[in-house]
Amino acid sequence: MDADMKKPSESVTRARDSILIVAISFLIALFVGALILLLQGENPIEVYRYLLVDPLVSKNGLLKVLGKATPLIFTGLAGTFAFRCNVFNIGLEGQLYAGALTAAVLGYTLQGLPPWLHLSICFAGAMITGAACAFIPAVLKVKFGVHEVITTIMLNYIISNIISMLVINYFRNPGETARTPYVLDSARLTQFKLPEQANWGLVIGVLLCIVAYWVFSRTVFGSHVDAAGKNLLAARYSGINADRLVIITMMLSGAVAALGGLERVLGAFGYMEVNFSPGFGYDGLVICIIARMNPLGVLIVALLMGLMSYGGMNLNIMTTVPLEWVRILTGLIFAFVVIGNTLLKQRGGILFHKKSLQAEDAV
Amino acid sequence: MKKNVFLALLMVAILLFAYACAPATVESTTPDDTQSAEAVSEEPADAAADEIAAADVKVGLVLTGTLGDQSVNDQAYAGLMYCEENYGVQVKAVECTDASMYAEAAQKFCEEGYNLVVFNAFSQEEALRTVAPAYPDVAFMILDTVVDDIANVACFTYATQEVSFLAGVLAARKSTTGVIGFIGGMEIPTIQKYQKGFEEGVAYVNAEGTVIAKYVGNDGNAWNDPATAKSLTLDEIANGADVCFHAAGGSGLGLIEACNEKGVYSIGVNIDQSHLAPDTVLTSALTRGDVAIQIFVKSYLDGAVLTGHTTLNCANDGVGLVESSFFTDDDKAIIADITAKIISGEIKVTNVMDY
Repeated sequence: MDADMKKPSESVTRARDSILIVAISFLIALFVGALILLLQGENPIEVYRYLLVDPLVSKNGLLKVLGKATPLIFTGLAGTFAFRCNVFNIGLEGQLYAGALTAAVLGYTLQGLPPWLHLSICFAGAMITGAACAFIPAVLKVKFGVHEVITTIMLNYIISNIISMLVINYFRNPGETARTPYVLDSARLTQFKLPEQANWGLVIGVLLCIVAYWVFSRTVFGSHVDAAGKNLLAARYSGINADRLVIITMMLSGAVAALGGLERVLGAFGYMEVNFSPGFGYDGLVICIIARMNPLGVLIVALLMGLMSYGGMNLNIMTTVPLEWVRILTGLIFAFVVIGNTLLKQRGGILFHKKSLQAEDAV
Repeated sequence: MKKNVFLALLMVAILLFAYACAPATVESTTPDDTQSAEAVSEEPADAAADEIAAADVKVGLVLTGTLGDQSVNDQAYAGLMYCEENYGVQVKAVECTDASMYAEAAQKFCEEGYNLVVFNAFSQEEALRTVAPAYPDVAFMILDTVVDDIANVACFTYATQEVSFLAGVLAARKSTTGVIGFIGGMEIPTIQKYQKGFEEGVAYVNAEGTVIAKYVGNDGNAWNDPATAKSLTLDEIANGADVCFHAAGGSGLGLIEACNEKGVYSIGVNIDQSHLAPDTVLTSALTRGDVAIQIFVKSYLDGAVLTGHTTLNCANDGVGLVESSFFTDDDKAIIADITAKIISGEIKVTNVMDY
């Protein structure tokens, strides 16, 4: 117990406690959900089996869960970059669309390239467009003090409508569906098993999370971002170029969100359809907050979201429980996790030691 | 602090509980399903008994959205329910909230041993193309688009020019000014097909009659912009139109509203839209996805499952007008007569997009 008071093991305690709080919140939510189900006359055990277990053990189920989770990993991580620096990038959705269109257009127009080059160009193009979309609100914030929440939300509408307009008028594949032509094989992120959506984009997403974790925990840049995120003014006085940091983190955030769009286009679908995203960008915000802006946490929460998302459909097909119920349960889980997190924050990040609160404040 | 947290938790729990109670009423539809399934099993389906045991046949329907849209999804669900009640097959419809669910839902149906998988809209074509080749033993169908290059897929399109012709005939008969309005969503072949058929129908009755045709827009919003459709319609009415027909999806609500305000007739499309304005909706030009599902399921039960392209037309009841209280006996007779002539080929309606 005493060891917990010491510096190195404290971070371990914190990590343990944040995982614990999410787990406890999850269990409470499941319990409350079970009560509701019982009142509705359903069997909670059967429902939870189809929602949480069956997707993982049924044929191809795991691949579907992974396929669902992949874009969420990217958007969740994208949110993390900005939120760490205390910049609220609500514009992930627009940046995702921008990346998706760039990848789609580069993917079908550039012919005769070897896959490695073609893919690299698509990646670079998507990341640049995503970063450029995030650059606008970042500069507006830094230079003119315009709050990024307003500008990013507005940009979401502007960007997604411009993208739809471009697809319909310039890049449309002849046919009923408003979508671009299929990208060439040299630009495809190969799917693990057809026709499942899960593809090599997943591996890239996981690697990115690991890299991001390393950046935030082990590099000077990461500590500067955290410092600026905790107290911008103090960071400035300590000699950190905070304005530059805000712009860089925003652009990184936009670039990663754009990769989420790229993954859908080059990996899961092979083309870009107008309005393909059911709100990946907004889900990403939720994920990164639940994961408490920890890149590895993002990975776990995104997978959980993917599981719930596919599990919900599974439940819908296998039982008579309506789809709405899954959304209620998802809402429950988020509500409880946020409550738990707030509780934890009030205690300085440590669940069981009241005394460490003061120690934490001093640091 | 502990007390506050507890109170907060309690409040959240109460709120959620209150929220959760609301869909309990929606829930009540599900016991009905099981009841009707039981009811069916008591009186075995007669027609299909000789070919394939209908009770073993499972039909999955992948919807493009959620039920209650009073449009294609409800229509397809009605078709599915018809099959359950009349053929005795097992059915399941899955609501999809985003495009990536189409393929997943279809795959899940296939993995669960469903025999037939139904897609109800053209927007699901890509999902169909992904899934169907991977499950050659499952029979697929899709509505409103042509997919005739996969062996285990049946596709259905509507002869909308035929029903538009009938609508044109009726509009010309009801019009006193001889001016008739048309609003399309977007100026694309699918909609021009309605317009052409409609114009020909008007001309068939009244060679002097004119059709004022206007389009809502040229982007995705064109199908969901009732305000623009309404102002276009008011403009047409100001120019003398006293019957207006639309092929504009959600925008068409604006036309029906404008006609209702000005007290002139409107003609709905796709589904029976008379509930929107019972006093002024003359009829609706139906495109019956439910009939397509019935045809498809029936063909499977008869042992020769449909594949390739089928047109839903007057002959197979896949398109048609809704008979309303505005129809006089003369109207009914003439519509029936013209329908028969279209079926026999005596009247040829132009199809601007001959497949």
